Amino acid sequence: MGISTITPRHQRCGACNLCVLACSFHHEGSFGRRNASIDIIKDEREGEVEIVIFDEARDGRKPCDGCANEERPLCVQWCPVGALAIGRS
Amino acid sequence: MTQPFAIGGNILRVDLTKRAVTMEPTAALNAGFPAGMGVNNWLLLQETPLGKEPLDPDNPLIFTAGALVGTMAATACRMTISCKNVMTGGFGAASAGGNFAPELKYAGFDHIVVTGRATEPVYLDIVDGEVSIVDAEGLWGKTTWETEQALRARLDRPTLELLSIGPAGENMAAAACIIVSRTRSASRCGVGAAMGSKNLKAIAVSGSGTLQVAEPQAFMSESLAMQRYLMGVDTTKNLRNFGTGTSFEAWNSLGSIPVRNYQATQMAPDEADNIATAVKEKKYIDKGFGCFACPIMCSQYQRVKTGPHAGTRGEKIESQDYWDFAAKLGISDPAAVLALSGLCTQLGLDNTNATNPIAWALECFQRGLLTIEDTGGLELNWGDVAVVSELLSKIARREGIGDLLADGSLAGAKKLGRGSEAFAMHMKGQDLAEEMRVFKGWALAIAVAERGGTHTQGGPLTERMPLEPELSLERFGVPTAFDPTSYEHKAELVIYYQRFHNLLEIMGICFYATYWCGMQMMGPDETARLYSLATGEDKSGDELMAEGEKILYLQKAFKMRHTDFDRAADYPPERFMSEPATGPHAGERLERPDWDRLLDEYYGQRGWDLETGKPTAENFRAVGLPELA
Repeated sequence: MGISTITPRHQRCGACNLCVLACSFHHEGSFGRRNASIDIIKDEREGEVEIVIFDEARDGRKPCDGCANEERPLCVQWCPVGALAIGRS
Repeated sequence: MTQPFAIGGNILRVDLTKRAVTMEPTAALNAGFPAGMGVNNWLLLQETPLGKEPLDPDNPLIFTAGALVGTMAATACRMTISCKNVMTGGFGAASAGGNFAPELKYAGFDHIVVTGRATEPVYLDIVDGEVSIVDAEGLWGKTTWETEQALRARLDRPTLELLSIGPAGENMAAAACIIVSRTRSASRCGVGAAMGSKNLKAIAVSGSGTLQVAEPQAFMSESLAMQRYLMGVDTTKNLRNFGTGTSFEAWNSLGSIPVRNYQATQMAPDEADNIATAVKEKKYIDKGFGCFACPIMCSQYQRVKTGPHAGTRGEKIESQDYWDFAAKLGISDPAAVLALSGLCTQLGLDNTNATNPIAWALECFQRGLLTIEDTGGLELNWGDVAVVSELLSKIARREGIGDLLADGSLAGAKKLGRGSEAFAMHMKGQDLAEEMRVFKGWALAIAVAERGGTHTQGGPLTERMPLEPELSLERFGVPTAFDPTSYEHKAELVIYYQRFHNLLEIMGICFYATYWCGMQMMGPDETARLYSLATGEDKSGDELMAEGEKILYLQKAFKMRHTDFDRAADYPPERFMSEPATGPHAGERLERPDWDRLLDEYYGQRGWDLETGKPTAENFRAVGLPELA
């Protein structure tokens, strides 16, 4: 089993941040936004969302490791609208 | 209740008069009171001085994140904002979703208690434990959307959440709300005016911390199972596809909406179809968004592309928007409703507390009690979008006729006189959103609600669900939960939902994920499992319902300290007793002898004094509040 890469589908995202919390839990076993490898940037005015996945550590964030210890990445498991898809490297 | 896990950890106190900021641990208070709204209501009760007007600077304004907020418990994102009720003088609280409350907990706070009044307009800036009181020059006078945009440009941070007031709050209109995360509204009770009275324009928060739960893996499994279960329920699918606007058609077909200031209870089919069709065919709906940690995503982003309201866009249009603008004011163009609702959000106006006085004014004009001389030249006709738009702006700025309407229909009627009080539709001084004649449990909850005139403190939606009496007995222990017009056992049903709504406010869980909306959704037991795993404090559904009951007594105690409301204040407006409903339940009204009996049952179920409608000292002791006996 290779390392999962996560492909965002921005248009499906409803900005609930459950993926962010799942990612935070994966890294530290607790819930927050700033230690996650995913950020959800919502443009409230336009009703659009950008899903940012960090491949490198930045500002306290850990890089996405594809949830190597999980059967499926937690963010993919938790997304209620299929806005995160798995690709394998 | 104690909550060592899943909390921010601190209470932030801000005295704007002294420009002083202090902090204290939440734990000391959590030990004695339910978390979230429980601690909030206790602080409000203990720290609101006696004998002060609602907008006195000495009164506290308290912002609170729910107990499970910030975790992955489905929909746990909500905040409670409480103050001395600007419209009633009694207990006041408003609730909002969005992203602010979880960010507050990540910054290390469960509550913010704001007292005093800044000499000049300010905003609060919270970055983890660093709290600044910042000059709001350049923001005062701006709409909520302009304020949000300006603060986002000014405060460039990895995460940033905001709440603010608009011109309505600045001008201390009782109809003012607080706008959270741009589109979520903490409405009712004049919380926006309370914020304006402190010269507090906005609060910004950024938190880099995380929340621990007691049993991480079990909590994750339970939360994910709950999320997946909720996703399969029809109620969820309906909310995600259409938002709560989908229920407008049902409410109208049942003949229980406030048409033209409650002169009728059902809109004409062609007018209602305009709205129902736009919702069903998703004429303006782009997609659904969720508040923080919410998989339901009922908040529809809508966009009007053509016609006179082209360019209107935004989120969070509720069924209640259609009651407020379409039913009450006769505006049957759904695009106009979207535009007016967006205007309220920008002005920082509570849709209900702004539209209800307008509906009163329109009826007064219809009856010749208000004239064009009184209105500054405006013809107040039903369904006139331009006039309603102008009135909203005038209310927010207290200009001309707007000043008469800004403090609610009762306050307006008292100033105007001329017999206009008969058409002011309120409970305890707070304007109504709801028609009350048909559904009897619904009516009771609204009439006795501690914050005055609201269905979100015990209003059962079961009465509009065509389900079997057996299920009613199983869930509520009474046979009539699904019977719309029966008075039988409705007191017990309302008490159940009062406790349940308070339980959900403790948790910060949205009502739309629960038994309130659908019998297949989360009930007390499911909520208790999540709470127990998150906090490590093992609680059953029944035990949490008891905590919900305790909170009601805190609210009751506040009302008893600050007002003289008694049994008489729990009677609905005379119109609901004398003028019958229209539509399928034509003829239904609230007969006084029936209401007398219903109140006796409601007070009697709790052992309250039947003459006054107030709890006894023994009642306070029995719920675990001996200090209030």
